[in-house]
Amino acid sequence: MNKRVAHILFFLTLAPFLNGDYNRIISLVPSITQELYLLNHQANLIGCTTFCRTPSAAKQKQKIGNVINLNIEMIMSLEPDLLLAGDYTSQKYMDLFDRFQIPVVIFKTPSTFNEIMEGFLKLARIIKKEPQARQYLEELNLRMKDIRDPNRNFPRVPVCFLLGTNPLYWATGESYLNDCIEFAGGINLLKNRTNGQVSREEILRLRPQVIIMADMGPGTRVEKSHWQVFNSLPAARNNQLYIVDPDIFCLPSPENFYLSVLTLRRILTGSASRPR
Amino acid sequence: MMNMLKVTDLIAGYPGFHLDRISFNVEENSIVGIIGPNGSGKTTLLRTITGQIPIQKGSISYRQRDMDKQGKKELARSIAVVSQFQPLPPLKVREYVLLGRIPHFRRWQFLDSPENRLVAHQIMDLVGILDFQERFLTELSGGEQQLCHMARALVQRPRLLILDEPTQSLDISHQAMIMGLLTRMNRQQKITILMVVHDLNLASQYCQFLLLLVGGKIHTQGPPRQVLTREYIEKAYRIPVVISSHPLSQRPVVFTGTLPDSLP
Amino acid sequence: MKISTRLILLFLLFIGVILAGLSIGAVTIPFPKVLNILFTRGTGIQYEIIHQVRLPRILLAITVGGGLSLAGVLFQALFRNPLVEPYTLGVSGGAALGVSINHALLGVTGFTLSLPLSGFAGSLVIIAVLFLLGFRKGHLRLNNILLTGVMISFISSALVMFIMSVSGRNTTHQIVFWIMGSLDRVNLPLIRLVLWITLAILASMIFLAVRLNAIILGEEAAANLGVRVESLKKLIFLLASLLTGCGVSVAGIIGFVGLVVPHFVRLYLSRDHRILPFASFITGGLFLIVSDTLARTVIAPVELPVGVITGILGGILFVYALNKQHLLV
Repeated sequence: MNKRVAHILFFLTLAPFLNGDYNRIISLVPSITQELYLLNHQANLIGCTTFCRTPSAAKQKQKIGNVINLNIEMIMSLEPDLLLAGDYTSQKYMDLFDRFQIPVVIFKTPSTFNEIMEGFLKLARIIKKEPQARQYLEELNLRMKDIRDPNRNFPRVPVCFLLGTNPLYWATGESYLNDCIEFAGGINLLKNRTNGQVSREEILRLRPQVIIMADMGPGTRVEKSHWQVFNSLPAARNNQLYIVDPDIFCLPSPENFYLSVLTLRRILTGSASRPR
Repeated sequence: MMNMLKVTDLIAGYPGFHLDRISFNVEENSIVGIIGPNGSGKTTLLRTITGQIPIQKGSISYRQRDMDKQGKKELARSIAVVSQFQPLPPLKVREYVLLGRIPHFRRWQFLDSPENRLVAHQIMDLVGILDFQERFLTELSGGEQQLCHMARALVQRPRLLILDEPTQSLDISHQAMIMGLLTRMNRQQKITILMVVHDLNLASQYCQFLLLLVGGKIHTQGPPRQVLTREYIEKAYRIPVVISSHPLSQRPVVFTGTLPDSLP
Repeated sequence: MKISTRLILLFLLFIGVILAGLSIGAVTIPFPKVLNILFTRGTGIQYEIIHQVRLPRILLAITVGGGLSLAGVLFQALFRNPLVEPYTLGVSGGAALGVSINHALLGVTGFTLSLPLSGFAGSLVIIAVLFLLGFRKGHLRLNNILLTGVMISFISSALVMFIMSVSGRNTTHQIVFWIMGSLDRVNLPLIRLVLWITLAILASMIFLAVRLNAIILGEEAAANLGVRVESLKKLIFLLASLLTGCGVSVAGIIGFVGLVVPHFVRLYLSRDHRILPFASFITGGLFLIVSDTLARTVIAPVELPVGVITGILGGILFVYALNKQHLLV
């Protein structure tokens, strides 16, 4: 049986029985790191990645590599009792953790808001803070209701969300950003695509009213200037090209999701009243 | 008779070898041969005359003017060179021969003038390669290729033709063809010829004047009868020889003598 | 078929390919509309797609495809070696290195021109190094330059890999994608600048053509034909390197064009350098337009890097040409 599947099954089944208080936790996933802070469990976090930048206190934690390249020696030297990994963590690392018999829990990358909540609860169960988590989520959903498109009559704003340049890479229906857009009152024009690589011409043909771009550096600003020349594109004509903070939009923790929807809602309500 | 080429006290060469005070004249309309053992500086001398190797001391004058003072392009309209090892570009014969007209291109000229094409046609006819002008150089035999090199040099319409071992790897029929062509050019077109020859008997038959080089110096110079003697040849090549005379032309013919046991 | 007929056919094919490239894409625009849009002012999505997206790509394809092919002709004449192409000498390696250093260090500024400028600066450094190393006692030693260039290529690759290994994922990704070559660089003024430079160098071929023919015979034979060989070598080297540096800075590394196109033109049109540079320019532009159009459409809407198509197409064509005779320069 595939080792990864074995791992997942093992921990999924044992997770409820996972004993103990894990007080030496290393997080390999930036959103998980943030969720640990949300559950007030940061004291037990002894290491995380260089991409774990929110909340800012996380920057002070010991770094064990970036999301792709991990420093195994550093991880071993910290003597963790639990590793929290993503489903993109390389198999070679999983084998090493297995060999050194460090418990690892794998968190699937969420593709919907429900999955974000499920992942959050799973983490809470492991560190034995499930009640707190449920309470937090209840309160979050209340907050969300306030902003979540109260006026179902409003026409949905067509949106495209750019995740990367060179090549142009957009959010499709498989990303939680899809839910984010819909909660905020928009519709993701690329919802039904399987491949996120969509050419400039194709986007022009689809005529989004708003284009959101995750800030990946100076290249994003350059990319925005490329789009501004297209007068025939509603998003460009009405100046609805927005660059957003990737540390909020691209880190799928519940709090971030809420903030993303909030931000998007503001953008889209302003834009909904503009000419097409 | 004017001196086509006048070399005076020439010292030239490169680290490890140099020519030592070479002096000789090449008279107009003559055929001059440079002979000598391997490594004696024959090619070096030619390459110094054509300007590839710089002169350290002495002078070379062409048509009574110092060569250094004459423009390269001007000289190229008058002097043509066929080197020993010519790279074979992947061109058709006709294209290759036409390249020889380059020195005659006017400054801003781009296309081949009708004159160029006419000259090329005439020369190819004269040399006897018209039949395969559309074939690629690489398809021809060694002898045919050499004829093409000749043609390319001749379209330059030179007054002086300089050749380095023109018959080196050719069979006797091709040798005769090349030498016959050179003789015709000399007599009919009044072209002066200066060539390095390794075959002493060819040099004897076809040259009017010989230069015997040994170790970078002129061992002796003069008409074949004067130079091709046992005394000079044995000293230069360091093997015994027997000199006879050609049954038809009466010019000297050199045979190698038997090797005595004492020679290493 | 006479050469003039073939040249006319080539030109017609060129025009046809340009029109096809302007017409094909996510939005198919019929030919008559394309012509209309090209010559009148207008608005609308079709107008913008043609003027802002496709026309710059076509212009860039002509500039880079033509420029690289021209550089290939020059380098192959200079070195009398059929396997030399603009990238053999490491000029492209220098450009890649310049761009990598830019990505890695100057994350702060991101002005549109910084990438091409750093690429061009990198290639200039390599050109200077090659020139100085190859230049001894007053003449340019071609063997030195060739070997040094190949070594520089390897060193640059290693350095680029080093930069990639110490950089973040995003930087590495950007570098890799830049290196793969793309005609999607939308800066029109820059494209026009490089186009003019390339056309100027192409025009200068009128004056160099006859001498280029001579240098095929070898340096000694060319000198005996009255050509000033040393200054010619330097000029060819500089012009060809400049073309390569410009092309790589704006479009990344698009391989094979500079190698295959000159061979093809020699095979089917002429070996004469009074025709070869111009025909190669047009053929190179044509080839790159076709490659780019294929790259855009084969698995639409995903766009392949154009270097993938030129590599595969070019590779196949080169093997085909290899089996014909008279490949050597």
